[in-house]
Amino acid sequence: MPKIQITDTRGLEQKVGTGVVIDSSVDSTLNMDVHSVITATSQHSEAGKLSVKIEKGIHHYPIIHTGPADAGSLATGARTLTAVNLSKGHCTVTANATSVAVTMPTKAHIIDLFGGSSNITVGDSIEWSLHNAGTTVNQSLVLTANTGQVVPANIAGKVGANAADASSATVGGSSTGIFKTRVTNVDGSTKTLRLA
Amino acid sequence: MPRIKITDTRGLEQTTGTGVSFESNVESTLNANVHNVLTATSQHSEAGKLSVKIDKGIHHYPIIQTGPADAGSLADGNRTLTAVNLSKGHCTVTPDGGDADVQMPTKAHIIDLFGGSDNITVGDSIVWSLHNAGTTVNQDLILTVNTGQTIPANIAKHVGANAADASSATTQGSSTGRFLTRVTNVDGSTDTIRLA
Repeated sequence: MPKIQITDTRGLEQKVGTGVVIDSSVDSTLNMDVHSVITATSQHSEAGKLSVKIEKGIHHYPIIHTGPADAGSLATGARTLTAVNLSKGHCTVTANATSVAVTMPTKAHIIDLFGGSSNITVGDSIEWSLHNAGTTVNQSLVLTANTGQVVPANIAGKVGANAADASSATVGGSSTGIFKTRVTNVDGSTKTLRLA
Repeated sequence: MPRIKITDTRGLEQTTGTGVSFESNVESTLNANVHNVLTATSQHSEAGKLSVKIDKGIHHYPIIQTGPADAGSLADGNRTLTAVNLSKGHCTVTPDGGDADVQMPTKAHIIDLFGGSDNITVGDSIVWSLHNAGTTVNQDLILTVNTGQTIPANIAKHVGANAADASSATTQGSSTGRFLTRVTNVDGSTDTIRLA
């Protein structure tokens, strides 16, 4: 099998092996399409020194993301999230009681979510948000553990109602929580942190 | 030194210089590994017009990110953040009797964080979270300045306790704040804003 290697010192070479190796800078003036994983770690990665950088120029911050439409409310009342739900990145549930459980997916769903048992890796993480579409004050969503899934305690696991008035004593903050779920075991166990 | 150049009109060429340039679309059906900076600015980048796009298909939004485990609480009481702390992207501090100050890193730590004096660049930014692991109502974390570091004022710099009740008059919102810290000078000065 041919392996293509390009270096600054010797130019283009064909060797035994597979894949393409470029030991040099690469400039693409048009699009770059990668149909699998993009890995962006420095060979010299070390603790306390950031090594992954996406240079977007000085004019703007946001990256345009192409993705699916919002799925709408998944349930009125308790809901167990699925791989498909989390893959959308934004889950909406409508609280209809004081504390409505939104249960993390099963291990099997987590494995599916992260590409199946051949791909799931400890350290793989996603950020996702949970919105409470309920409008009644004091009816919160409560993120709840499933087997193997660790979730935050107390208000870090709660998402308040999307009530009409944000300035009264009983309605404050946002009705959407942002979470990060990180794989801690390839059996589908995770730990979830509240990011905002 | 050879430079490999691939164009849509003339195909593969070897010219004088270094690096590889594609004046064409690039497609990889397998992985792409970048061991240094991934730059994604359009040649036509301009204010008010987004030019960086990550197309993830129509099925899902989140990107799987591989990273370190949560470091746990960094301190009971006041804490000055370090390069290593911020490099994790998520910092937890626990107040121990009243409000606790969480001080931004020194300029030297900021320089280390952004890859050292050879790499730090004005405009380089990170998004990070600060979680209050205390559970006692009205014991906040307060982000405080260090020399050269600008931070938000008023409640934008406060992160409330992770108390048990999200629905009372005194415990509202999330116990995690999300911030964006941007390098404003290569001497390690930064400006931090509250995102959520």
